[in-house]
Parts: sequence; C-alpha cells; structure tokens
Amino acid sequence: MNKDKAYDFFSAYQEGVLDPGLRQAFEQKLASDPQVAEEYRRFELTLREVDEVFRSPVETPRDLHERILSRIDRHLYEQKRKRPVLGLAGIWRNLAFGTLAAAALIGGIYGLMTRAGGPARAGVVGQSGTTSLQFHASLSSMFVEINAAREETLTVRSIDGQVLNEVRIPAGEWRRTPLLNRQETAAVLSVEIEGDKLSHIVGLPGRVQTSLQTGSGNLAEFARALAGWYRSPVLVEVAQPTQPVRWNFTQSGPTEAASAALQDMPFTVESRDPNLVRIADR
Amino acid sequence: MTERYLADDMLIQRAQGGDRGALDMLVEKHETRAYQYAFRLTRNPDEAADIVADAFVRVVNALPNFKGQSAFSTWLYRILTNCFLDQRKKDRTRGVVSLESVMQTDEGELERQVEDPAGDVFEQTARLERGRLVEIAVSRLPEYQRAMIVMYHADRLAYDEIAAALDLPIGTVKSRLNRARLSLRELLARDEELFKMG
Repeated sequence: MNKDKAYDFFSAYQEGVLDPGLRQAFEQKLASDPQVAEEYRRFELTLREVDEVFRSPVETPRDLHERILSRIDRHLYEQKRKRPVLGLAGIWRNLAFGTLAAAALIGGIYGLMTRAGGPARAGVVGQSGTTSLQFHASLSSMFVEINAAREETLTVRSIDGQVLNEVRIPAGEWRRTPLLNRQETAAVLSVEIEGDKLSHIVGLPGRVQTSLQTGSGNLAEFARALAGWYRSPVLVEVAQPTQPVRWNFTQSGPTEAASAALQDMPFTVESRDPNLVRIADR
Repeated sequence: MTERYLADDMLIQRAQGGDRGALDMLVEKHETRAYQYAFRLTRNPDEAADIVADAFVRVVNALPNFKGQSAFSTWLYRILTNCFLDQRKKDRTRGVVSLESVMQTDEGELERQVEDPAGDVFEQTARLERGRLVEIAVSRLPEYQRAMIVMYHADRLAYDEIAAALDLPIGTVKSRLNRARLSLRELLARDEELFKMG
C-alpha cells in the first residue's frame, strides 16, 4: 500500500469499517512508515478536536422565528401582489350566453360559502391530485384560487363552451382570478383544470334581479336563474348537468328554492348559512 | 424534536392544504437545528438567520411538490446548503471576498491565507484557542466540504442522510468527507505545537 492509498483509508480505518484485508495492509503501512503513522495520529487528533468544537451549543437568536415568518409573509404578499388578474370583466360585456354545452360541464363543486353584504369568505375546496381550487364569494361575485401542485391549465368557459380565459400555472405557483359578471343579467360559467375530471359550474348574479321567477332548463341554467333571482352566487357539482329542472322561486332564499326545485331529483342541496348553496350528486 | 409537535408528514400534509398554522409549526419545529447548521457554515449570526429564512421561503414555494420521498429534515438540509452556496456565489459575483473563502487555482482550491485577526493568541487558554483554530480551519474548507463536515460531525447525520441531502452517491460522500478531514488536518498542521499542549 502506497502513501496516497493509505490516506484514502484514514476515515474508514478510524471508523472501523475497513475490510479485514485492507485493515491488515493499512496497519502494516502504519507500522512500517513513520510519516504515515504521524499523519494518521494528527488525523485522529483533528477529528477529536472537530467533534469537541461542535459539541459546544450555538445560541439561537431570540427573534429567529419571527424573522423567518415575517420573511415568509413578505414573500407571500409579494407573490400575491405580482399575480396578474385575469381580464374577464371586459369580456363579460359582450358575452351572449346560449344553451349549455353538455360536454363542457362535467363534475362540479364541493361547496360555496357566501355572506350577504359581508366580506368574501373562503369556499370549500375542490381537488385535482394535490392541486387545490378554492372558490371565494361575496354577495354578487366570486373569484377562484388555484394552488398548483404540478403545472396546470385553468380554463374558464362560458355556458356555450367558449373559452373566456386560459391560464398556465407553473408547478408550485398560486393564482387568483375573479369571476365577475358585469352584465345586467345573471350568467353561468365553468372553471376547469386540465386533466381534472371535475368541472366547476358557477352561477353569478347580474346587476339587476332577473325577472324570470319561473322556468325550466338544465342544471346550469337553473344555477343562473337561481343566482339571478336571489342575487347570490351558486356553485354546482353534478355528473349530469343536462338533467332538466323546473323551478318556481317563491321561497325566501336560494337554498330553500333549490331544495324545492330539486326535491325529486338525485341531488343534494346544502346550506351552511342563509346564503350558502351547494348542489351535488346524492 | 419534542412531542409537543405533530409528526412532520402530518404538518406537511396540512400545510400543503393551506393550513398556515401547520406551516408555522413546521418552521418552529425545525428552525433551531436549521440555524445551528447555517451558523456553523457561516460563523455569522445574521448571515445564518438570513440563510434559514431564505430556506424556509423556498420550502413554502416547493412544499406543494414535496412527496415525502426523503425526510423533511433531509430535504431542509439540502435547501439550506443550496441557500448557503447561492449566497456565497452571489457574494463572489458582487466582488465580496469572504475571509473564509477559497481560491481557485490550476491545481484546485486553496484556502485563502488570511492573517489571523487575533494577535493575542498565546494570551488565551490553549483549549479555547484550539477550538477557535479548528473553527477557522473548518470555515476555510471549500463550501461543499464544509457542509459535509458540519453535517457529519456537528449534526451527526449518517452517510446516507448526507448523500440524500447533497444528492450524491454514498461512496462520493465518504471519499469527499475523507478529503475534507485530510484538508482540515493540513490546515491545522501549522498549529501542531499548540495541539501538543493539550
């Protein structure tokens, strides 16, 4: 064993993990070469000193936790501030909502929370793998937040399947887009994530109350009518949104009205407060 | 780690779902160890705290993609090491010369020979002085070697954990760590007489 090779084995020998044959050769080298033996002695001494130095504790700054959290907060704030807001508002004005395109609406919604006249509140979450969609609602508008676990495409479509906006979201990024309806009348749209079997159908009230108290149509049209009459956002999750529904809005609120209209159908209507409506498959 | 904290995987799962409290708890659980590692790499309290804060911001960004294939602590070591290396790279780009940095030569990296700022070496106790010299020697190691030395000797990480944290094969970690120790021995050789006093 030459000197350079012996140096390569210093750590392994010191840790006692050298193979028996190599250990014997290494020990022979130590016995026959005083320079290598001296180098190894200093090597062992160095390791002892290093271990001793690192045993002494390191004092952690008292404000470390706050410092980290404030950096995180600042980062999240900057991230939110820089995010582009989708320009749906301008598009809305010229939209004409026709018959629901059934192919564009599959799946739906986990829930919606809204408080009349109050601030927007977080909605319940839909999932696409570990990507999360969150719908937030106020009395008359909504926005959707997506936290992308992998690269995702968020698509917003009108009732007739027309793409209103499409946003590519890099993995690990967060985006928020408003779902605004600045038309006079109520509207309905779908929010989709590429590869997700769920499609989220959103009914949004317009600037004025819809005059059609009674009517019939599919579930998406029902969501639009409900939102328009009661002037409250509606979120729907069903596998078959094309099923026909008849309604007559004589009830005091949207939840009661939805329950009455859908009572003989395989849907559930849930409410967590007077303005929260969730329509889903039973 | 204390029992007052939930398990990492539970905290991560909640944090991935948007639970800010879980994220804060994850930070609290790991921040001390992270700081100790960063401090031993930098020997500068402010720089260490900055590195730790940067690392946790990166954790926040990457958490949605964390699949738990390695322990969170191992992942954090990797992020901390990258933050440390990035910081040093930035310093070099800006022309900031660290007293602890290495010089690149045709023959590889050499430690920058810096005059010892403490002129009263022999007025201090030999024990304290030895410790100080070892710390200085560690800080003069090339950055990657320094990280390995700190992980192994200070934080008691096993070879496979260091390998996971640095994304290197175990054999490479072992051979590089051996080289780092040999370098330390060389750096301390000139103080041999002082060591003999112990």
